Amino acid sequence: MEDKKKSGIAQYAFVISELTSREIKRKYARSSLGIIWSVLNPLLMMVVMSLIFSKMFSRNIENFPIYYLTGQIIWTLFDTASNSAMTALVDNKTLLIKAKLPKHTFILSRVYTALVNFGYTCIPYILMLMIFRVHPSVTMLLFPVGVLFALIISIGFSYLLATEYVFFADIKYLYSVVLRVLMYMSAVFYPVTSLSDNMQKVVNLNPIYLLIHFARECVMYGRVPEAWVWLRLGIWSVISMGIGLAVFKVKENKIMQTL
Amino acid sequence: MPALLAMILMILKPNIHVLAAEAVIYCGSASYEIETGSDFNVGIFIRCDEGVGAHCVMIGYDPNILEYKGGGSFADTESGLIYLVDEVGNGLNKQKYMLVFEPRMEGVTGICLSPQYVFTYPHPETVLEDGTIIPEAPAEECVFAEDDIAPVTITKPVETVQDQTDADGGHDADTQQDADSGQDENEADDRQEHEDADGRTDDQADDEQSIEEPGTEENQTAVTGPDDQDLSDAGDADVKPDETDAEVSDGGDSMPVDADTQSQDGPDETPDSEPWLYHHTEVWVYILVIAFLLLMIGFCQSRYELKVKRRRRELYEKYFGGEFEENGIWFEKEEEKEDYSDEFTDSDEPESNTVHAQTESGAENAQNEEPESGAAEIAGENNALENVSHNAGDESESGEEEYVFPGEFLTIERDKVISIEDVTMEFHLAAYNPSGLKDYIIQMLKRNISYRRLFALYHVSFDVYKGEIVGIIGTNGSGKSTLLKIVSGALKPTSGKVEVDRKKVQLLTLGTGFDMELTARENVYLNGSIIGYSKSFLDEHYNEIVEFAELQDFMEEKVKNFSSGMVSRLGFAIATAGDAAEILILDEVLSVGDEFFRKKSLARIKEMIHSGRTVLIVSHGMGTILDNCTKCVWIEKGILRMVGDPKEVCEAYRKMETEGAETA
Repeated sequence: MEDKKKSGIAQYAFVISELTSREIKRKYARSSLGIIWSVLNPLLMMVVMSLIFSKMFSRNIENFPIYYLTGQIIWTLFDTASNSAMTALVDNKTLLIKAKLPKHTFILSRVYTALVNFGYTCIPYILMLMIFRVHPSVTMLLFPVGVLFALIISIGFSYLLATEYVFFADIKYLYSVVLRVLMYMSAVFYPVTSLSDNMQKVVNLNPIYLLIHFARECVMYGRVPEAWVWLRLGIWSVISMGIGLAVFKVKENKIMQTL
Repeated sequence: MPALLAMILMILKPNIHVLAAEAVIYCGSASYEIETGSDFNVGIFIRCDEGVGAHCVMIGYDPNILEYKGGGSFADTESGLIYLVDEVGNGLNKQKYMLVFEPRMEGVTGICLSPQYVFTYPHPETVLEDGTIIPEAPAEECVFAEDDIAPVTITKPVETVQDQTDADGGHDADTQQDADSGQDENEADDRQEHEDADGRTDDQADDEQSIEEPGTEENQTAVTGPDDQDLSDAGDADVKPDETDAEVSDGGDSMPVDADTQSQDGPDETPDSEPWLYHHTEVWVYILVIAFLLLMIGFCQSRYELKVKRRRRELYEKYFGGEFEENGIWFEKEEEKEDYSDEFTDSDEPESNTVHAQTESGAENAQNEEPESGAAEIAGENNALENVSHNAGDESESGEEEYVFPGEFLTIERDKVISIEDVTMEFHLAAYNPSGLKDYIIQMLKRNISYRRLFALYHVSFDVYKGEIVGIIGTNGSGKSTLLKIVSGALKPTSGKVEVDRKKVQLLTLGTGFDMELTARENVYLNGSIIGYSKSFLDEHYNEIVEFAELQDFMEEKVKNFSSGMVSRLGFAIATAGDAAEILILDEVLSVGDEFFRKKSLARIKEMIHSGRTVLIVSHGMGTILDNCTKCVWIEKGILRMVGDPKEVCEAYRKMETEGAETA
């Protein structure tokens, strides 16, 4: 049993890495720039958004490109993770039957793929931090903690979505709407202070906004995020992970029957 | 014509929103349409909720087009700069300057507001009754948005100034001009002081102008005065009644000044905050509604399932209870499998009815089938194994007794690697396909949703011993693949138990699990990893796999370009590589590839057999089974019909096939 466990973990890692490399290869299978798009895309988006929001809407956010980029990369992490993981079980139907590993490996591999992608986007992000002369501070070390929170919350969402997607494919479209709402309520490109007090309260409940806020606080402003942010993120992590895992476990066997 | 030239410039209201400290600096009008030959006034307002303190605002204009006449603190007429400077501020919510210009020529220009700084008014220290002194609140600097420009359009005067038939634009310009004409600096200054005492809104200053001033001069323009308002002013006017309402509801404790600020807040903030809040509350409501609906669906579904389960249990208990109606269940199942019509879709009626109906129809079926395989055997297999087991050996027509119900025999002489005990697999097939979510909900509420229960496997038991090559036969859809999936662990049986070391099991099905976008090499690793090979193992055996699949020249090729034979060859090679799998389950893979490869794969299977591995083969090819297997399992419609020597089982199977053909 012990032996099995040990080799199991190694095998687990191997499978996840294989699945991930496959996802990435697939994603950029037809593009000539390939993985470089992971780097370019957020940069281009940053330029466009900075132009739009600084020239057209004359928002006066200090260091808007960084403000936006921080929000954008965190948002993309969550977005791609939950969105791609949603179809993980259905897409890998044939592999799922063969595999002796737990089924959630496939969900995790999609989330991990999003994380790898996030890693690539971090390259331009760090570059931009230097170009825009954001003062390096100790609190930047908290950034990975924020990413960890983001991962946990994404995994929770992914479990739930992937399970439900097997039974109820319409959830894909429903979720895209939910995602849109979440995005506009995440203050990716506007300051929260421009909202009314009530809206701010609502936005403060949004886990994605909390993640973005967390990242901005520790990277841009060199502050340790407030206690309530930690608390809420913790609660969100526990809730999403709990619900996701519970739903997945309960329906695990039905998944294979349905597929 | 010149009158028509006085076009109304619809520009965004040139208010400057200062988000941080809420200080706003703006012109009285969004745009100005004036005519040459007369003065015109530009009201500059500074509004700050904290009280306007020391401030400095720079105003730029084009000295070539406009001539500055007064109203500011000081001005540089050469470069076109006017400064509004106050070292103290009035401490009220707003402060107003009225600048006077005279147009020099026709043209379009603008007045540019460029705030330098505005401090909040320092509130003087207050002494409370008990003697405590609240110190003076420090002045705070307000942060400003960018500069703003109010466009100014200058046209030639119209000949018939007071003509009623004039176009609106011209008319506006006239009245504006008239209004402005009587204005001088002193009056403007006076106004500034009187402003707050009057309790009138600054935004209405222009109205005021056009109403008051013309009033002193000529009645006609006084009447047309209100028309003079530009859009923003009109907006203010609209808001006004509401504000007074608000004031009343506040309990009357707010001062007129407050009302003023409110009326100014109205147009300023309405576009920003109110719709935001409004829309998003709605969105949240929608989300809540949707979430609630989903919850309801889930809840109802789970309740329905519970009910189905309970009914089933009741049924089982009933039939196990000794009443000899066992056939009922069996035939119900048989019926369900065979009958894909909608006959049973309305099974939301009490279950017992259906069962009886099915029992009857089932009885007929039983008679049809009887000559072939004996009702006793059917009954025995389908129901409590414990009860029937003693008779099992006698009843089976063929096969070695040892194999018929191996579950009975406690003596384990060889290593049992797979033990399938009383496995039942039940699927729920939606009998009614709703046309949409709405329909689904309606039908669900009406309790019209029903599932046809399908037993893919029904109380199947047999054992597989180490080194055996077991062939599994049966017609299409008889549950063979389901059985394999259960053995490999992909599915969990509804009831019953499968004992097998999952780590040793490997399921090989045709062409599945390949990613067409990846190269063959990548697929080897991907598939290998999923099958359970470690990386080092794959590295070691990679060449072997490639050689066996005979794909040496194609490994960097994308699998989507492969022929189906190549894909299955590769699949077979990966699955049988090395010694990872002790129990190999082959689902229709032996008929893979060309003649040569088939021979090769057979040879490899045989090699495996010799190395003591256990193989489960599903095949429709009798030849394969007869040639390779040491044992054969015949599953028909989810029921284990026969286990035993391949020759005998195949013979029985063929017999059934031909008989089936005859009856049909």
